[in-house]
Amino acid sequence: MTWLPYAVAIWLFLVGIYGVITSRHFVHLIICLSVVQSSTYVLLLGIGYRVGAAAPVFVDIPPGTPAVDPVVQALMLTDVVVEVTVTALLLALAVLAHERTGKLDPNKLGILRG
Amino acid sequence: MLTPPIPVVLPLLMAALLAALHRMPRPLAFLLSILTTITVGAVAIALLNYSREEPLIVYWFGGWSPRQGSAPGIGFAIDTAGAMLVLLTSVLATASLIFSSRYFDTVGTLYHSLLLIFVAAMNGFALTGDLFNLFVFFELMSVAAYALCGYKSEEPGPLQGALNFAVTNTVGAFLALTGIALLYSRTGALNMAQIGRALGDRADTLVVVAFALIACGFSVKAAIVPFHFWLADAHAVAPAPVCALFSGVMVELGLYAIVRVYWTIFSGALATHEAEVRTLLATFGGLTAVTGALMCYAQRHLKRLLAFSTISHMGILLLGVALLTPQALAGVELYVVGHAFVKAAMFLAAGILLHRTATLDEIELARRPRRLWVPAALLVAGAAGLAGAPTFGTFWGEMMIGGAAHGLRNEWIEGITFAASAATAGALFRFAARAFFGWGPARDPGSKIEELPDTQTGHRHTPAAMWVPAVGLMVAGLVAGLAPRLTGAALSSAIHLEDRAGNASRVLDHMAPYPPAVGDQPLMAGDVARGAGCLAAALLVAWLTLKSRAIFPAGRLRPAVRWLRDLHSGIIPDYVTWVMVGTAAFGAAAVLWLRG
Repeated sequence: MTWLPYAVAIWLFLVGIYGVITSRHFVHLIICLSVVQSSTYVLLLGIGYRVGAAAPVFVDIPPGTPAVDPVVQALMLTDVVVEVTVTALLLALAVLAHERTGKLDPNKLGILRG
Repeated sequence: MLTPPIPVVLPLLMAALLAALHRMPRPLAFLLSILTTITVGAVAIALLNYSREEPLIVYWFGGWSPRQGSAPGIGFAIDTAGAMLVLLTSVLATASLIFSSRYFDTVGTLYHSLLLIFVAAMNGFALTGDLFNLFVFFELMSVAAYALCGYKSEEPGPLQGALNFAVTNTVGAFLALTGIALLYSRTGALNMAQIGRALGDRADTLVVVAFALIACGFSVKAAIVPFHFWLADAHAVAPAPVCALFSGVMVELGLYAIVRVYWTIFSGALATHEAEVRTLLATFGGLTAVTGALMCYAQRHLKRLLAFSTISHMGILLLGVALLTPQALAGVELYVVGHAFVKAAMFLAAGILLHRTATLDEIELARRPRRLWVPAALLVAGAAGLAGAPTFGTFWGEMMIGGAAHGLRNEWIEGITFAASAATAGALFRFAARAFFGWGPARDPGSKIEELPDTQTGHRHTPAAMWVPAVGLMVAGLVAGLAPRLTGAALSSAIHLEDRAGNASRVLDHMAPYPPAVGDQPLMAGDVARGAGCLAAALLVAWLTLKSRAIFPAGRLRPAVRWLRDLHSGIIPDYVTWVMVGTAAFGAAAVLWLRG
């Protein structure tokens, strides 16, 4: 089933973008953005996965045992850190926008146009 | 040698220090951050000097240098263009910091902290030779930029601008990351030179899709139509000194990433399809130049006007990149430097204007025109710079891009460059004439303009800390254009940037490339005539506008301009939709044309 993680990644990307585009609430929009980002997690882990391979912790496995790619796992962890930062900042901005304008609908802020 | 990491490490450490000791007196925080940016500037000059002997400086963190052509570690690969961008960043950051010291009534130490993180991330982005590292610096630079954009969080405008900016750019970052993951799955490498070598000279669907995703992801940062919508909103509301950095360097870094990725990774695999790549990039570039120019002309808010002029000039730069020749790329490099000084000085001028009059609205200013000589002179000189008047950096850039376009029989690129430069410069001449001298109609019989109450009052004086950096940047932009051997140096840098095989052997096999001796491009009478002609055309545009009875006479283009303005709705879901439409169009064209 090697295609499954890629199919899931594409599905998560599209469904997340659909959520962002149709969103009527900033918190919903920001969570949808996290869904888009999860597609990159699945993609990265899917790329590094090898059937029947061990986790890349080389302490208690004999040398020569096949292991899954540790590089993509490191990339994914970095990606998680980045995502937490962006989500926290976006939520803070949304809370401030709600305090100043009383609105949380991205379609109705409407200060900047043209 | 320890210098290469300093432009990233020093500002990051100082930012952490300032954040930890955020109760320190403001002058001390100001002094420390200025010292940091000046030190980084000095390091950048040292790197530039060194890069004359060694066009690609390679530095491996922790000494993890490559074995048998495979790079296990993360490295910096510093070319002349990257070192130049670091120098540009530190000069603009220094000017912004000086300007900020009097611009804000209340500014905390955290502002300096954020600015230094922003500078560090931009430097890392310009210097790194590792593709995933590029993504991390992209995100770090973006997060600092979102926070700076929404810094005046007591007003709703900056918050909305920052949200638009953040959501659109985050989607762009995911696109780029997906492309990076695809490249890793194909090559098992993250070092750009190694990926380029592993891809070989054929591009299948996966490689082409990865190219499209990375190009579209960085196009969001580079404000290429239709990925550009966030830029005007972010610039309209961000503090003026922050805008100077956004428009001067950050947006250009998006384009630099596209150039870097294309020439180190994809240029071999796509070599047989150069004509198609040219058409694809030039289409997006032309669209950007024209859309930006039309929208720029239709603005009455100075910072939005300048923002759309940045979009238009990014289109001109992408047209130069699209030609795919060293001569055109050298022109792009010179244009970026010239544009950065001029545009940053004009954003600082906008800050001075706001400080004095508390408004940036052209019509409102025209009702009570005030002869503020410093911002007026800066805007007029800046408009001449945008038109590519002789001896500005933009003039040399247009000369080389034009020469390359001519050599490839792509004269339409010269035409679009001329028209877009004339329109954006004309809009600025018009603004200056109307806002400072009250020329032309201030009331449009055909359009309703709300009477905005003047709630705030401006300050009576412009502090020296505000006008000195602005004037200094403009003068530096003019003087930089007079430096000797400018076109030859840019050409040699561009030849190295495009030498994929040579750079790869420098990075992976420790082989030093041989610096070529390149002469200057001779200055022709036709080039001077074009620069002067563009300036004249811009003045004509402004004069015709001021003479007519309508405020923004667009003639038969009026419905098109109105439609374009309606598209810039300020609504995030619309912007993300456009990003996806652009990605789909670029991706489809790439898959159809570039495979095989």
